[in-house]
Amino acid sequence: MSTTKEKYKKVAYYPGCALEGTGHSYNRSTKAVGKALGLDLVEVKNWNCCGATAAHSIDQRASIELAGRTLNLATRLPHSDLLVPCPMCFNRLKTAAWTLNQDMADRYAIHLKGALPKIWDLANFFATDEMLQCVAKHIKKPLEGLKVVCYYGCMANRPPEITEAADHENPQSLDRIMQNLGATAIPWPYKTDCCGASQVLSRPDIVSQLVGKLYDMAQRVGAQAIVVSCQMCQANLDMHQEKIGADWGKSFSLPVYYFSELIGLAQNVSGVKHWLRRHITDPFALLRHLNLWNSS
Amino acid sequence: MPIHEKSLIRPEDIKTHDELVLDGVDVSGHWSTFIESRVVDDYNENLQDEIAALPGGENIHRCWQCGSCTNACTVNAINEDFNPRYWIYLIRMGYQSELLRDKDIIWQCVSCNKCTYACPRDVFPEGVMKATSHWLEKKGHTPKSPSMHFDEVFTEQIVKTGKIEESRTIRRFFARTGQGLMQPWMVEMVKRMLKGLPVGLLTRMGLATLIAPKTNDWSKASAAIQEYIDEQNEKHDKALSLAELVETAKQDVAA
Repeated sequence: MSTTKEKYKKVAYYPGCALEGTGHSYNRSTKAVGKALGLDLVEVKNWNCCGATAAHSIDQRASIELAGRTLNLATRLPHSDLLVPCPMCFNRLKTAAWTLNQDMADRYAIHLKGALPKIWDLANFFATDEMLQCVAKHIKKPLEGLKVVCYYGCMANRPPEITEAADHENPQSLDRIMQNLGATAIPWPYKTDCCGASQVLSRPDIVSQLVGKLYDMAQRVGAQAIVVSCQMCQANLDMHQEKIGADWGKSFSLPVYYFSELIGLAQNVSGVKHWLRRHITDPFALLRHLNLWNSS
Repeated sequence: MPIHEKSLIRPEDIKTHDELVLDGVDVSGHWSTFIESRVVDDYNENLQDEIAALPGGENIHRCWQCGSCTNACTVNAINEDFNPRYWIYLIRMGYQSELLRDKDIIWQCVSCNKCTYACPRDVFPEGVMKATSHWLEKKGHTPKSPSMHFDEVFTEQIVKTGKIEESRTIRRFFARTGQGLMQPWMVEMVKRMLKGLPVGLLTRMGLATLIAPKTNDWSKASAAIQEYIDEQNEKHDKALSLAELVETAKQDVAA
């Protein structure tokens, strides 16, 4: 494709801390896929942590102000869309934007300086008609034969008053993206159930029960893999599969892909190998089996 | 999802005797089951106000006990003793001793916010769970929960640098909860990573653990947030009359 400058659509991008660590593959694949599609992701300059779940349980006001600072930095950019790949960050930014636009905004030491860009959950952005058509044009290798369940988790959807998710009990964005790539997205009941998040450190037994339930159902509906849009869910589902299988007396083998990695795979973008290498549950065997993976 | 909550009569309060004669009447066997009467011995009138003074607990007074939170709860589905509706009831009634029976599981909330969505009265039960575990710790009923340690380590790092570097957070968390860093899953993860990664990336990751990522110009924001958190802590301690609690304890020791 031509790379003339005006063909690039510029959007603001807030990666968040986790995408510089455990979510490295999510970050890299999003950037690579965006580039191939003609999207220029402009990182919000000098951003800070959104506060995540921890800050609001220590201090509610500080959690709004942390996210508020980043929002103010985003208003300085001329772009009308702000893409947020991490659902936790998305939730905190939306909460801050909502709170700071209410009557109670006076209670906070930070005020919004200007009109906010539209805050997008990355999966929802890629599931708009415009983006789906754009992706469809760039597909080189449809993911035929790949049967997945899409797992959305808590933060991109709840509470709907804040996230403005249209179909928060049965979200469709990842399913639409997967169908568009030629894969089969199987409907299942646990799309928005919780993976246990940071309790993985405090109470691994709770996480084992919650995540085991997801594996069990995914296998029962006939899925070969799980597709996610959250690095926390990815880590919880990917890292402990062997151990959780042992807890449940079963053997699970479900690779956990970011949706952006699979878009990259279908588009044959370079770098897919490096993203997938960081997974714990073998992501290659299934792709080889389906003839979707050529290099050794 | 469970629709019925478990019985309010605790198993230890149900008394059946194999052989018991009272005033000449034979009351042995299943058909003469007794229920131990419930005694409330430390009624705390301020309990609701104290919880409401902590972050997340502000809306507890709005609850009308419909039970939607418990019905939607992720943790309740795997442990029926985890019952947000019941705890909110106990707090509003001031039944402190009853609440304290469950002090070791309240912090296990996974913050999935299903209750927040299900609640028709905007009570924000997830916040109430956080406020209640906070209260238990501040009043000294429980040692700091692992979950609270995590939140603190996390927040401290944000306040300090503006960003989170996960391996640092995890290391500090294990150090503070007295666990070894070499958790089996962690060793496995590092092994897998070593297998597949190019040397350059490893060096960079190594460097990241030495030099934490930082938001520029953060020092001013950091000081402001820290000052604010301290101020809030002071306010919370006051709302819970912690100073008086310490004073009473001192007098008890002196006497």
